[in-house]
Amino acid sequence: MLSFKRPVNMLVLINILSFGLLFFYREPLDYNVLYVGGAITVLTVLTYSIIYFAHLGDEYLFIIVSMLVTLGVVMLCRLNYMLGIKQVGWYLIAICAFYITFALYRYTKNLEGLKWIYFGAGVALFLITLIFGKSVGGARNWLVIMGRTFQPSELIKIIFVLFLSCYFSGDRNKKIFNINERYIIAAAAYVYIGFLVIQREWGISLLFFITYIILTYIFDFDWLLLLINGLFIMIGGTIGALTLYHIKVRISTWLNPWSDIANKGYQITQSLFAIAAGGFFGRGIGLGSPQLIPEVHSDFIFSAICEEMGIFGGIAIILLYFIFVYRGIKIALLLPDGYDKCVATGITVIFAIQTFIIIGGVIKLIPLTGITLPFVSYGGSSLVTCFMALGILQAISSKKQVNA
Amino acid sequence: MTNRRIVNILIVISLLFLTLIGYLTYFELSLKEKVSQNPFNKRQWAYEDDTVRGSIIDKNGIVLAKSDDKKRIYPFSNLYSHIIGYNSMTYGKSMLEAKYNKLLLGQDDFSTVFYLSSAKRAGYDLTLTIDHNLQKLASDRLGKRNGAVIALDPKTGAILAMVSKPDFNPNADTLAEKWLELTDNEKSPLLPRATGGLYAPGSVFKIITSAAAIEKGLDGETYEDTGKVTIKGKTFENYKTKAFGKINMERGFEVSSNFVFCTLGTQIRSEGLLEISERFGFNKTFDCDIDITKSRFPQKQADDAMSAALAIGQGETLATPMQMAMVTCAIANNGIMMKPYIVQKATNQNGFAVYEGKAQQLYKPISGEVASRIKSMMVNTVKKGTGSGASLRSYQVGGKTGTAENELTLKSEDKEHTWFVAFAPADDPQIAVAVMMEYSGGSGGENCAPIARDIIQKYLYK
Amino acid sequence: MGDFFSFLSSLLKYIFITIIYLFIFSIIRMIYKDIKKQDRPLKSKKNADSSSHLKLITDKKNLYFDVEDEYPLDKDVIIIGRSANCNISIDDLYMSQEHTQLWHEDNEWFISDMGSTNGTYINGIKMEDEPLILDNGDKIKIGHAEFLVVLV
Repeated sequence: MLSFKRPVNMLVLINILSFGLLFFYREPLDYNVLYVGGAITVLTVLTYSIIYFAHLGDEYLFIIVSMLVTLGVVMLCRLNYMLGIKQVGWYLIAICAFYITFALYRYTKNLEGLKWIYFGAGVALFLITLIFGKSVGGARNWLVIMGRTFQPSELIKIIFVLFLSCYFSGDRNKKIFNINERYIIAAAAYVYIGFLVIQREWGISLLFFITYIILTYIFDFDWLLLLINGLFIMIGGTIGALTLYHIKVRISTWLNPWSDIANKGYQITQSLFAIAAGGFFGRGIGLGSPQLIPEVHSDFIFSAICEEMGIFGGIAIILLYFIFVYRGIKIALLLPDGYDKCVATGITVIFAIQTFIIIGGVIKLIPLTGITLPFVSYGGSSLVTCFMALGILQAISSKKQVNA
Repeated sequence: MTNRRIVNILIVISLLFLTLIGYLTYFELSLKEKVSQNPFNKRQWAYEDDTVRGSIIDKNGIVLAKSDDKKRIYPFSNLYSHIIGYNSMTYGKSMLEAKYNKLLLGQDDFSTVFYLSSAKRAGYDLTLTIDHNLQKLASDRLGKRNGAVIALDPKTGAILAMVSKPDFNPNADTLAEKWLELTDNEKSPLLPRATGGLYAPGSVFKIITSAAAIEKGLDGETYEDTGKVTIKGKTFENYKTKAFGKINMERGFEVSSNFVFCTLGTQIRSEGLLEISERFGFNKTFDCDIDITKSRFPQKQADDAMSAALAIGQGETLATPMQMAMVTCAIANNGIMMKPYIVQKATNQNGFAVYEGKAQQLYKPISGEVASRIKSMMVNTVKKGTGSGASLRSYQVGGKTGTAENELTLKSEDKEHTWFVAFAPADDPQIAVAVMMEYSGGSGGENCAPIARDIIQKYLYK
Repeated sequence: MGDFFSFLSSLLKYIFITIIYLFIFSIIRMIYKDIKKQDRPLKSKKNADSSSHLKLITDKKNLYFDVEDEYPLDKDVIIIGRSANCNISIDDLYMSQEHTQLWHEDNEWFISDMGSTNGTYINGIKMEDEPLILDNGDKIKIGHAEFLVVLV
């Protein structure tokens, strides 16, 4: 257990070194940093031990996620230690949510029957947000509860996967009102996407759409459906790209941000400058200038990591996500066909596509969209819902283990 | 079944992530340079603030650019505006200031990776191959006329002088004052004529045509030069329609007869001229200290009339003065064209050289024998041909004149581009010179040859 | 931010990268070892288990469809159903297209019902959603056919 080679020990080592380093970052010496570091390390080691010793399923998922969380908190502390402290607070809440979700999923039955309840819950959340929600940055997608803002669309991601899984695991050939249920589900998916478009959440609507396509391809492949979806996206996409101002702006900024470098192109160009400044090993934590990037604590945290920890640091993060996705897929593959298989696949796919979209946008591989990097970006709703999704995945992986 | 599809999706996701990693690496390896030097990148400013930018000096130690209390000072103002360029917070950097920015800031790979201390650092000084006295003379002699003067060492490719006019004052205050004027000015003072201006080479192209003729065995003919020749309906005249009577190719070269060379053009044909021009560097680019615009020789097949025009350096051919200087260097250096370079070395505070410019062979367009033939034709051009304005008493000079028609000569008088290329001493060339004046009228022999002579004289009589 | 911090941070950046990559590689190694462990017992058991099979115990006279007397359990995953794509395809109208799934893992055989209309019965008791472990001597009833599980 104390062998150096175990990943959890390396994680602890990184925690000690990085928070130790940050301790000397500001004058006067900042003890808050040490408390933050200590809190993270304790929470992580504790949860990891519980998962490992109580055989609560796959042990790799959590350890990978904790490394991501650690890197995120280190960066946030470096930017502004208030952000770091808050993120650790959310981490604590997220871990509780993790346990609760785990227990709920593991020990309750007949989740498949809740199909339309899930759908209804999603729609209700959307409507509440539209009516009572707060506008941030031109998009009305935040709810304020007890003084804290939270993004319901994060939660609806999970609901969406559960909803689709209910359908996939049921009888595919059922008909409602004489139309094959398949098309009703498609319509329902588009209702969700429609809400997101109204809320101007381009990133998340793209995510939902791609997830829907992928899950349908895996679990319910039907040529007619494919054709309809294809037509829909081509027509919808072209109309959107040609008429919607926001989308046009995003695409032109992606292709040539240098032409309007002071305004529309500012964010992405600053991100590129940061990544360029890093070299392979980075400038060193605290020695770069990530604060020049707007939104660096949330969407662009990856650029900050590339600046201070180098391209190797960025690649390491991509590799961590990849191993995580691989593990999730592996879990899904070993499951017999059924509800759990769909949920596991769905959650893994969402993580994978979300990561690709945000990192791709930030390095200018694809146009920029406003979504967060799971587990790393600052944000309570993002962190908590990601851990809830992790809880479900963990619960599914533990079912297999208990039976064996 | 579903499992196979899940695996397919896993493969797709792996490819997506690999693309991310690949793009990041690609970005780091190639795009990074262009991106970082943007004036909006405040990191550069902070970095530059922390550094004492290196000085730029000529081969004899004369300071051409230096930093004083964060200001960049160019003691000779306009003289080096098209070599060193400018270094401005507002307008960015140009020419050597841009190309060698990293060295001037002391930013080489070693220190970027291993930089540990935070003390104020000193950038590296650049020593150029330029001879300031030569540069000054060239600029004075060109005077108020627009064009370019280039002097090179044909054996190494080292650039001894390079003047482009019109020029401007790169010192920060004047630059800011005059910026709008400079960018609006239709004479484009910001364009470096020597390496960026494209002009019809006119008769100096006959050097290349002669090389082709010799290689193809067409050099033994005799011609009855009547002063003008008509090919496929187009008439080509000698300068002032002078008729030279019964002459061979060598004499035709010395007097720059269009009769002879247009005829040769129809025999060599545009394909033959294209092939040899590309050997001399037309239509090609290469990595260099300075940015040299690609000189162009038309690549599509042409009829007899066009081939004739191409043979005398007209038609759609466009060359930079630097290109013709390089052609001259090849002739002077036994057929071997060396790559031009301008930075001799970069040194740190202790005088230790962290970078040294090296002489490198660029192309070998023709054999030593052909080069030798052309060399003697060029010597005779100065002795008893159109290039007499460049002759010196103590040294044998080889040269070629050029007077090129352009878009303005169709409408008005006296708008030709005039050229003169030369090298000396003929038996062991130490220097090659190219002089070009745009829209000057007159002839290469009248305008440009004397300038070349003065430069050669100054350089050789040391 | 002093000189000391700059020095420390510049030094540590190499150490961080090294540790993070060691972390990644050790996880990959652990996962790889796990896969190896799972594959090996399966492979060595494969020959022994090739005599494991399902033996038909219902009287063939009473069945109106074609069915074998024995189905060998020779793959890691076996799907029983009416569809021709199944590993064991039986044209019984009482069976769903994909009715039951059997799979071999960690040296055990598991069975689960794939959401069939008429259900799968183990030793007379209808299965729930949860997979169950099969023992030698268990009886599986799928549609009209009942099989004895013979594990070696």
